[in-house]
Amino acid sequence: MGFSDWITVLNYLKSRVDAGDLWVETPQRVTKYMMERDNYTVSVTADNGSAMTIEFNTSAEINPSPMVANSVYSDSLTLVITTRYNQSVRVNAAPFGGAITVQYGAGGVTSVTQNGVPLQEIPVGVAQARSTLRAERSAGTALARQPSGILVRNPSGRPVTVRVYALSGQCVVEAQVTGPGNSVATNGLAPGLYTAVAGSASIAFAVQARGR
Amino acid sequence: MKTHSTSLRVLPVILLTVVTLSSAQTGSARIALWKNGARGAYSMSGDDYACQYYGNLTTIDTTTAHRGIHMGLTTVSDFPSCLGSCSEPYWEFARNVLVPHGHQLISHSYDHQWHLKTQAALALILDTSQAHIQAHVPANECRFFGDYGGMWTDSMIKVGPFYERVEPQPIMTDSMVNYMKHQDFVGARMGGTTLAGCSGVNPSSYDPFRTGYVIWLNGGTSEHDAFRQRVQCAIDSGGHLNYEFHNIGEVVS
Repeated sequence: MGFSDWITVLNYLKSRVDAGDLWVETPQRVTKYMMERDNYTVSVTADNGSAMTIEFNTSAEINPSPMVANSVYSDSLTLVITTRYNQSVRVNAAPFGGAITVQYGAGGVTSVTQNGVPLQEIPVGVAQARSTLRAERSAGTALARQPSGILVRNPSGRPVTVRVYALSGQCVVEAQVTGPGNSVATNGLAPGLYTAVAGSASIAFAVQARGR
Repeated sequence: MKTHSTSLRVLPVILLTVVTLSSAQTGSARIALWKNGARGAYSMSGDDYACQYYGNLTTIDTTTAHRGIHMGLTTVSDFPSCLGSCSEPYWEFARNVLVPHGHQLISHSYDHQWHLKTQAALALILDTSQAHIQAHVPANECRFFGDYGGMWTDSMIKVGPFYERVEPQPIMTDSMVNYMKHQDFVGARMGGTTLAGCSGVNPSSYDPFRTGYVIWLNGGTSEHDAFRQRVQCAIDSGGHLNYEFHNIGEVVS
């Protein structure tokens, strides 16, 4: 499929994800979610009016194969939790992650933790996508194109490896940068399209042929 | 005095009411139909990673990464047998770029050949390819199989004015499904379709080893309309839509 068809498909999918209508993942992860959802259960095991305890039951065998234990089906599941005040929150929790504790009052849910670790509430629709994007952007390394190289913004200042790949998948540049802002030179590359990767950040760029 | 006796009579009723309300109005929890509370699920695969038809890898990576979208890449594990042009850089690209960005390599057989349909060759089709992928890309959990056409006849057959190898039937057979269900797999896709409408959408629950999928053809307005219709069907029915794409990002569809 051509580039414009592909971008049109992706943009449409993204719009439905942002609206809260659609979950897009790999086939294997979607399959595992379905099987976990259909075989695991959750129940409220305690509720004293200000705190609830929720526990997974993962005892039902999902896959009859002797080579696939239930521990393979450990992807997080989205729980819809409703308090006695009819206030609902959604969180992603690990089925083998231990008990979930919900602190709440008449004013709303104040915290949700699993085995002591805070779980992030899943907002609805576009707000969800924006908050996720902000978190991703602020969390780590970012890359930007410069005239003769790639600018690596690295807030942590820790060493980070930058690799540049050609369309063939071959790594053509590898460099380690330290500090919050550094550049990696790309002016020796042949004309073509490349991908630069550092941590969870990536950027595509083109090296143009020089004019005559 | 009258007031006092009335209070005594009413008090047990009040207490009973409070106790009843407290026990009845406990909280509840349930597992959402799909992740993040979505109404429908969608997944997709790029065909024949590192073999043929896989398209522009840089485009695949950057355009999905910027949108937070993950996809599968059906991988023919024995690269040298696949057009003779595949090599270690594709494994490296998967290890260093695709998998860290959330994509997954899917087993797509050992060499994409139809003669492996025989029962005796199932281990070669499934187990060997899975082991290959796992060995080269350890961070990639490979427990899904993507069926394929390519069950080409060994001999050239006349099709219209041309002689070519043809695909007489789909690769996925009941014996393969049964074999897989006793191996290290969690699911598979089979039965690709190009039919319009909602027929290609899987329901919210189904046999995970028989995930139906839709094949993207040539693009254009009508195909985009059909695509959106299928996505809407998945959302409306709480189902799972799975798509396969070829030559992603290349000019020719």
